[in-house]
Amino acid sequence: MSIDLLFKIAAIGILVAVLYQVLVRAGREDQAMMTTLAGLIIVLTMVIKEVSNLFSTVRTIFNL
Amino acid sequence: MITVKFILLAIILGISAFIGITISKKYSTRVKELKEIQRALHIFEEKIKFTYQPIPDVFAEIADKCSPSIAQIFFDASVNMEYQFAGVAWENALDNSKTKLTKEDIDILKGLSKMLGNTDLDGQVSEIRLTEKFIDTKIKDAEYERNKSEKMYRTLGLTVGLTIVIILV
Amino acid sequence: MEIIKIIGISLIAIIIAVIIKQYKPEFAVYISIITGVIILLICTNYMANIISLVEILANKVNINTQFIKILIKITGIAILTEFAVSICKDSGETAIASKAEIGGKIIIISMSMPIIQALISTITKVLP
Repeated sequence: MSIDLLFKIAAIGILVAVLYQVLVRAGREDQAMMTTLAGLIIVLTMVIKEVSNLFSTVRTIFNL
Repeated sequence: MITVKFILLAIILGISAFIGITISKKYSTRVKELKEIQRALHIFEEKIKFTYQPIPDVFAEIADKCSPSIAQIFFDASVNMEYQFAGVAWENALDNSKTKLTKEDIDILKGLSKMLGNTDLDGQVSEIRLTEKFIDTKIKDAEYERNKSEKMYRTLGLTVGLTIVIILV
Repeated sequence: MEIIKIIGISLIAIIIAVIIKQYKPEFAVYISIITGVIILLICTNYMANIISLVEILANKVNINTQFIKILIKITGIAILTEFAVSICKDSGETAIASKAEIGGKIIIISMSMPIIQALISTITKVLP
């Protein structure tokens, strides 16, 4: 758990933006939408893992 | 352990970039091959207009002058003609060719088969001219397609590879 | 020096979020969530220390340990709701944020029922 994840998400975001631009420029709007969605879902899985990690830590500390 | 991981990641990146480049190459190869075929048809037209060589010989001669993928079609056709009708031989050669041409391009070229060895000189020449004109529009199509897709696929391959690598790191 | 870590992470996160927002605003939310998670996870050790100190003090002064436990739980709930509410507000969903806030408040009040009951019973005892 460190700042790596932050950079990872930033890199994926920028790459998805590039993919979106390229696909839109080539006239494939629907596929561009799909890549954006795929990127969002991939990042979401990574984020949710960390959020659940935080929740379990807080739960053990505060005896919730 | 870490070096192995990074080597594998580099391989993934390289492979996806390579796939992108291969797909993008398909478009420029198609343009090149169409131009080559047009040139070959031109030679063919001149040959049957001014010399009275049999078609297999003309095809063999064209095969000598073209780039390998196109030459293969003419070479196959000229070999096939020894035991098949000219039209059938031409169609078979087209079906067995390993070019990047689309089905439509092949269909246009197959239109030649009806007249090969069946009509008189004028009929053949006009048929070849017609095919050349069709190929011309196809070249324009292919160039438009290439401008649109070539760069996209190259960037796509690299970006997808980078994304996979970043997700896996 | 954990504080330097926290400051550095938040500054870097701000820069990344500002850059990402130009291209894909959807990813900026993820950046803010992850930054919050990272910073809170850095803090967890210190939180644990504080809580153990509070428990030791409570044991010494002979306060009802049940109440102290409830107090600690309420603090945890408050931190988690604050986390969610600030992210909701950040992405412009004030309606959802206020609902999450109300939910947190209601749960806190329901958890503090024993304390309120004890208070009321003490008052009724005192009153003639």
